[in-house]
Amino acid sequence: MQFANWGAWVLLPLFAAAILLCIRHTRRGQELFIRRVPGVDAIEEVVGRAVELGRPVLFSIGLGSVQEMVTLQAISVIGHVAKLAARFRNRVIVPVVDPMTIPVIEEVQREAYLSVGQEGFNPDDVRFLSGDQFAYAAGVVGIMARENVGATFYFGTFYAESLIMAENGQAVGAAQIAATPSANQIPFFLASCDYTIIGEEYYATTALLSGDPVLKGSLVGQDIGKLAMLVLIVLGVVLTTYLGAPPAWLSGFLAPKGG
Amino acid sequence: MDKEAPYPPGLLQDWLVRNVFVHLYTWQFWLAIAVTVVAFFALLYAMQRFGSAGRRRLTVVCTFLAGFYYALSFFLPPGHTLAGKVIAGTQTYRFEGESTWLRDQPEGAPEDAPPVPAVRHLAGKILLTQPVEDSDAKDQPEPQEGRDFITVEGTQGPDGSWQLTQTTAGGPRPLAAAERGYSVDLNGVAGTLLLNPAPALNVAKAYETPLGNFLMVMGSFTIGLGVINLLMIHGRTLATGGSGWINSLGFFVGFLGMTVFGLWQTLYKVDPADPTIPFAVAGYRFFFDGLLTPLQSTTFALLGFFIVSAAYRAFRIQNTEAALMTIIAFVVMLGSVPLGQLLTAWLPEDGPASLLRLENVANWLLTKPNAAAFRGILFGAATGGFALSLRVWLSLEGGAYLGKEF
Repeated sequence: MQFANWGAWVLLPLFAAAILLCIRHTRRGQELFIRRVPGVDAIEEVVGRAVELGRPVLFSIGLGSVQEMVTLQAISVIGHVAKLAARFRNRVIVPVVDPMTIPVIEEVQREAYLSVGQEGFNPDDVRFLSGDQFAYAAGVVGIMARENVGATFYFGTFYAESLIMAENGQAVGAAQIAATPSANQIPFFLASCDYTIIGEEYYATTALLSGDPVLKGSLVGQDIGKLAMLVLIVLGVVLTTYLGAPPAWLSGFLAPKGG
Repeated sequence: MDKEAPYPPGLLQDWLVRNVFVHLYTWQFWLAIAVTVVAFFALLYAMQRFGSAGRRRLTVVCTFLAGFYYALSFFLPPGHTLAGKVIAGTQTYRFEGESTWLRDQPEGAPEDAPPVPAVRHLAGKILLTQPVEDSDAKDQPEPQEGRDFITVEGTQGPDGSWQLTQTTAGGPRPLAAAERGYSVDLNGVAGTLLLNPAPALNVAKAYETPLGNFLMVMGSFTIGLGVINLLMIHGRTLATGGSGWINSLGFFVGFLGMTVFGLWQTLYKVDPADPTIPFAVAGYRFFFDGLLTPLQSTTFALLGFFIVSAAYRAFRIQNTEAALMTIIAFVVMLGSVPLGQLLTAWLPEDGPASLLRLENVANWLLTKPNAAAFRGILFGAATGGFALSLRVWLSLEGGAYLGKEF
């Protein structure tokens, strides 16, 4: 849909308002309940395991570019993982496919190291491998084997290379956590990784890790939006079941505009 | 710039292409480059002087403006449809039209001539019969020109008026301006075409392509960052003879080979009829067709083995969920292969008992519970993505790259 239809005109501002209102509430100190996600809780444990084994951590952000929201979210998580690893003087190797992410990830890692009083960040740990999907996968697999990584994180946009990387991670005995909103890759990660963070949990990761009121409020706000969509779906099912085809004005309200 | 665009020209676009984005020659060209370079370094210096807080404020402003532009481009109505009606006696018919914007350069104009202003074209139909909107309706006759609809086309003049023609059996017929509209001939019956007031045009959409191109150009510069990163890491490993130095040597051979032969082969044109192939082209083919392509295929082919090992691990029955998944996967696999379908082939093909045939059970599992769960995940991811976009747009998102640490 290239242009907003009436549905988008009404619903998107309402969702945005719900999110901003919840952020306002949490900023004022209101406590909101957020359920724990096992995959997120396991991040510390997985990094700790790599430290105990004396093996580095590998963090792949997949094939997404820095312009994508999914990648920005992954980069936020790198900061947290790097902080955990830096506390124990461990390394986080980040192979990337988009060179534009290199300075951003370097900066995030450097700040994470400095925030725990460590200056041992090595810029060589942020590595551009290739812009090609399978060359990147082969490069990641090579790093896993050569560096004998103790933990691997897959956060971001993945395609067919997901299974190649995750199965090789299993082969080197790394503890693995995967997180992706790409629904098609979830089964592969579920089969190969110790923990998998799926769908919306992916966007909840930073809120759960940091406890930042803005992120927590946003999470509750988006749940309100989801609830509203659920109500609309149920209403649509009931109306279609009992009234047949929707009235013309409703079809026009939801019809896509501009292809 | 596109010769034909489905969207109206952007705000000030005609002025910009005629006065700002123009071809420059000789000293003007070099002066423009010099000014750009000076401006670039001045901006770089200013950003250094801004400090961290200043840079963050700049990022906040730029992010907001960019997000605002794309929101505007999405929320502003397209405005390229133009509807109306035709009144013929006591009858009223619907008119539905769509606009495109064309830039027709005059014949023989030089290639670097500034583009002419875009002219709005309208193509529409007067619907004499109500079209069938039920997509499931079958065996409906194709609508016919003259019987079911009449085509109307035209262009808009600088004063906003339309020069329209209608298609008739005898060729195009200009529509004369009548009181409040245009006179049309509906198969011998006179009518008046009344166009609705033109909707406001989306003046932001046209800039999406140029902005996308700008972003792509900026992005292509960063490939240099990647190359420098690779050269430094592998150069250091090779120089110090560190572990895996042989891989670094392989990288340099591949990198230099592909770069040299890739550039060199562009100097030659290969004639398929000529059996002799220049050395540069042969070298390029060796690196590209002989090494890169097979290596990519090999890596992809490995997936087959990995799927088996992952499936083995996934289907081990360790708890209730794993058992359920294994049973369902077994049913779906059986229902998808002829041998499995043969097991329940004795059940009738119609009637309630047919629902128990393995292929129907597999199909139901895939299209109902599986699709529902899949859509649930997509809904969650979409709302999460929306919330993250909103936070980034309004600079509420944490993270070192936005200057705010968790």
